[in-house]
Amino acid sequence: MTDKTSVPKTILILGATSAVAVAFARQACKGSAPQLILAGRNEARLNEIRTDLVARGASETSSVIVGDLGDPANVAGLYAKIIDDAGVIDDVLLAYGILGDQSEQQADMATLRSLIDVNLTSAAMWCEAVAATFETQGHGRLAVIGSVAGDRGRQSNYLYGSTKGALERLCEGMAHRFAGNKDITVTIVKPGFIDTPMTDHIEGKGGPLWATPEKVASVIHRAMNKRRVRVYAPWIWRWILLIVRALPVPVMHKTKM
Amino acid sequence: MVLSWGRAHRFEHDITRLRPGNEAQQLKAAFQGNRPVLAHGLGRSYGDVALNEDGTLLVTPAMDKLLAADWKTGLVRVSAGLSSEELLRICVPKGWFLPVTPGTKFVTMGGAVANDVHGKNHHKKGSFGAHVTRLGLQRSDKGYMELSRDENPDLFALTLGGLGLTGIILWVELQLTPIRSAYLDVENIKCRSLSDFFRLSEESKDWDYTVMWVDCFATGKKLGRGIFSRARFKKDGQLDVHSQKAIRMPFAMPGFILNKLSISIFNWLYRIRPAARFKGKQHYDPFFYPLDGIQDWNLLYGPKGFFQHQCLLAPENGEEGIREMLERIAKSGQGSFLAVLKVHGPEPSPGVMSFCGEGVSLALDFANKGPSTLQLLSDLDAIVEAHNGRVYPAKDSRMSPEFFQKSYPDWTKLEAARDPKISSSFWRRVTGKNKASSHD
Repeated sequence: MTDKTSVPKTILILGATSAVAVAFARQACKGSAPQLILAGRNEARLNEIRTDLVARGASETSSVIVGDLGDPANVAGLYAKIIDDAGVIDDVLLAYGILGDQSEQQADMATLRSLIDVNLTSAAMWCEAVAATFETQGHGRLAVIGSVAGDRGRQSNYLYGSTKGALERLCEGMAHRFAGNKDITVTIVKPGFIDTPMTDHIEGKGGPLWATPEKVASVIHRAMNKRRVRVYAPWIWRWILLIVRALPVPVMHKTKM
Repeated sequence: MVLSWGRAHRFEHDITRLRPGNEAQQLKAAFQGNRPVLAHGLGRSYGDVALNEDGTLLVTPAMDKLLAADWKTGLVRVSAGLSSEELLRICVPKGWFLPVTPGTKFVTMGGAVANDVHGKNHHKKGSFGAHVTRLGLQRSDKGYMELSRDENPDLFALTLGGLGLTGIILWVELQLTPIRSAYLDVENIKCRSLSDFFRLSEESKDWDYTVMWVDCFATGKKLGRGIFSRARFKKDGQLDVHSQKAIRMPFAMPGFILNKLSISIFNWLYRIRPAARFKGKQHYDPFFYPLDGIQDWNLLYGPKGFFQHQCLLAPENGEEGIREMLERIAKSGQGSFLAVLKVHGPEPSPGVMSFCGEGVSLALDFANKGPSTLQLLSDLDAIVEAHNGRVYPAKDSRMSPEFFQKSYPDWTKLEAARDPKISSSFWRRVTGKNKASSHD
């Protein structure tokens, strides 16, 4: 299952309308005709994306699953439907998540709860459901999109960061769990700034630290092929976060990060 | 800031990047605003056709979806922001190639339609527009429209080469060309004079692709010397896609780097290098897109940018007119090192306002050295005008309204069909409405 070009795979993409997910799926269409299962909320967008991917070489059997993936109450039902249709799932990318506005999350408990439900609770449930399938079928590769924001709590986005940080703990633990089986891999990918619609409102966007969705997607593919547990996307963030994590608390507290 | 490829204009714009799924809302908001609107792709037009000073630019490259593709027939329908670069990565492995391609793969399909671009196969295949079968257009006054040779044929013909003014192009349906190899049989031949060029062009009519690089400093009997290239796709071979690796020009070179001496040395090296007599197999990427390997190569021309000048002269005036132009350039000492000559075929473009047509075209570029460069370009315009030729809007940023209106007499038709909310810096300039505020 490490050969990425020969046998067409079945790839489940959770949050398939996100820019990184679209780029990831397009790159997966090179060289083989994967069967894609595109899951997300917006049916019309999912169908457009499916058409695009099939035109680029994905299998005609690629399908669309519509539902609110981030609602923990939906996970079991949606996953049962997916697994019923697909049988075997080779690769999974968990790409959905919300950033939100931290001041709203601080002011409103329901907004805070929904952030945690979407980014962590439901994501953990998807990961465990997928892990059970991998265990049964004896193989599979899971990649989860985390964030550099999870590396250290910072005043500007610690709520979002805590959900992504917890997701990283989950992934590294799951990777440990499957350490004896070389056909099952779990990867957490931690991007920095990505040029997507989600970040279009940020002032001063652009510059050397901003990566394209295509760049991040190619890092994910490479990390999966190399069976990496944890990668930054792109690599520069590893060194930036090394410094950020190393800052002593008194110094950290003097900054506005 | 959005610059065009020539980097000679610095305009303020209100920039909206179109996003898949939000584009309908974004277009609506732009049309409801007070400023003139214009779509902007990858910014490879040299002058101001894709600029809109003090107006709104709708930046399209995120709109890059395939809406339909039949890989048995090669008919594809793609979002207007899709680049040739990406389309090639998809279609080449499936045995299809762009029917017509300009000298860079970093152009969007919408831009290719709006400028009705052409390539080294014009003598065989005509312009890009000849291969466009259908278009989707969003207008501020008439909403969504589909255009083809049968449906809204007048607006279809005005949109091919219509400089993006007839509405926002949403998608393009295009007939691709089958290939059995990603490699071409290429022959580079030394050309000694201008008459030699016309002889070689005539002789090479059966070759799918022909073009010539000209040494602008040659004078007298050697005037028009250069390297003539002709090529055709191989009948079988690997369908290898181009590499995405490129080196990047790190910053704008100082303006004095390009001068008569350095260009003369470059031209001499270019002519004597072994590849100038190359005969053999070459991948489509270096053959069609030699400069794509250097990202931001336009920075070579220094901080003031550069001007392009491309003209088309009618066949009967071609040789004489080109001779006059080359003499004028040699006299100026402002050499162009990307000077390209090409004989165009007789097939008329389906686009009403298209630059393409039968004749011979000469493409030049000049570092922006201020008034002397502008004077040279005006003199070249005068020669073109005297020979009933015209200049390519996609490369222009300074031709006079009088010359434009005389050489494109159908401009009034485009003005009449123009979306009232859409305009460009180019259009205001050549129609004599220079201020964005005077936009109607």
